[in-house]
Amino acid sequence: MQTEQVNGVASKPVYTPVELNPKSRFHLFIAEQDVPVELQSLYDRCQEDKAVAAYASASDAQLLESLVTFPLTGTLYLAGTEPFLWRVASHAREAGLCSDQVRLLAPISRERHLFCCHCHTITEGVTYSPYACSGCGAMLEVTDHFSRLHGAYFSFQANAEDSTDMPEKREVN
Amino acid sequence: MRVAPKEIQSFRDDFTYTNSAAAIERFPFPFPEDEYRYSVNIEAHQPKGGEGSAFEHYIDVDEHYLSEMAERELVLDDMPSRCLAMPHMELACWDMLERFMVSLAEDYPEHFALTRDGDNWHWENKLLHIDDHFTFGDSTTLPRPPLDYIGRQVQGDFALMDQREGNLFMDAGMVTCPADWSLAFDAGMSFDEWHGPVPMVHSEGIIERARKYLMALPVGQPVRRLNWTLTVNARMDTSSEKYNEWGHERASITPENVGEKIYLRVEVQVLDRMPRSNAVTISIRTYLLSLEDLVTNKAWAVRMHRTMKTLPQALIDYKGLTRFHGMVVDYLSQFDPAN
Repeated sequence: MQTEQVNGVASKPVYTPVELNPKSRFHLFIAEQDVPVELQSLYDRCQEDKAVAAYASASDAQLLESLVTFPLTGTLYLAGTEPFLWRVASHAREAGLCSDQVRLLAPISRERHLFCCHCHTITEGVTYSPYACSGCGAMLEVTDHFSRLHGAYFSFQANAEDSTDMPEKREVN
Repeated sequence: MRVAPKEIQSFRDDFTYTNSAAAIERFPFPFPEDEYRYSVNIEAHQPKGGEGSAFEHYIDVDEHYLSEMAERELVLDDMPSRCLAMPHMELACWDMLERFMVSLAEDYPEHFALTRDGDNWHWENKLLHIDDHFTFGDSTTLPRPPLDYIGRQVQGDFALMDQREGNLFMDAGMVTCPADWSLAFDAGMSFDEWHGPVPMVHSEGIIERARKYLMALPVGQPVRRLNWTLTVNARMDTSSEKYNEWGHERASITPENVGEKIYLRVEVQVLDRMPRSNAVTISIRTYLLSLEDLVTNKAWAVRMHRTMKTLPQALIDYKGLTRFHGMVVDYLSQFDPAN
């Protein structure tokens, strides 16, 4: 979980290739929905005590409960969308896991969750900027400032300074 | 001369805020050199400048006290989420309450009084007509949670940082007059993350050095640094939350009104280690001074012109000055004999 500077914003996560944690005796692999190839390959290479879980059927509460008894020597490998990765990572932190015990594969989609700084609503599935807030309807400029707690990127009304000056639509990645 | 709190003035709508001659004189002008550069400009938070100086006391209570407390009430009524404290920060909030009450009562006995008998405390704030008995450490005995309670009685914004995992995390705060950031969004972030959008400082290693310095900050040895930006109108609440309401004012500047409408906004940031919780409290106290008032001090006018003229473009853009920076430089140039 490095936070190297990308596009000038240090809070944007950088996802480096994930390796098995050699210090661990127990490995839990969690996929949000389908198990991606990268996670499957890690699982196949793992010779230790291991388990795999698909998240689709588990609630956050169930997950948190299972993490409470997570072994001290265990490592968690997560695959899914970016908001999912950070939501589960934050549950893991609450349950007392340290950052080395939580390994995130690169998000399976470039869709972002967007935090509207005006009404605090989170808009899902964002791939371009500006994008309409699902709460207050403002056209939001998407930034790379990322909150692990919210699993979302910061955004603000794109034409607040000059209502006639709406930025051109651009893809975000 | 010490400045006494005056009647309530507004930081919004009709903007009745003014600085008296004494307030101008004690304004914490932030530029030590003609050319502005980022640095970890930290110094011990010790008294400086003598009686009446903005640095005379741990907390500076000035003529704007009642106005800023009234403004804070307006913001919190509208958006209670401007104050938040994660459950594990409860002790840190009590630490902060104690630090503030003790220093206010010692430094301003004419305005504040604190009587302590074990955990039974009696607090009086004569400026706001508050008189409460409570049990220290027991939030149920206060009218509001401790941060919310004391934060409404002290000028400036507050962020409380929890220290763990080799970093500092912003897990509590009251932020009603920020220079374009959102506590609700930045909550829970590490020191590096919440400085994420600041240009240049990461590659120059400034954030990392500042974090290491703060993590080693001892109890009882607070430090301060100054930060600054320019704000259109005497608007305290330039939060990201309200950017959709104040952003258009940046486009309202003309060569004719620039001196009146542009304010130098200075933050005196005090960083202090809390004794029980080991949290670090950051107080961000904002001072506003119009360019018109600033240039009444000839040395400041010259210095201000030169720092604005040499400001790197990345900082002009980051601080949101792009639309009017040129007009500010032109206006100030008339006060600089080097031109």
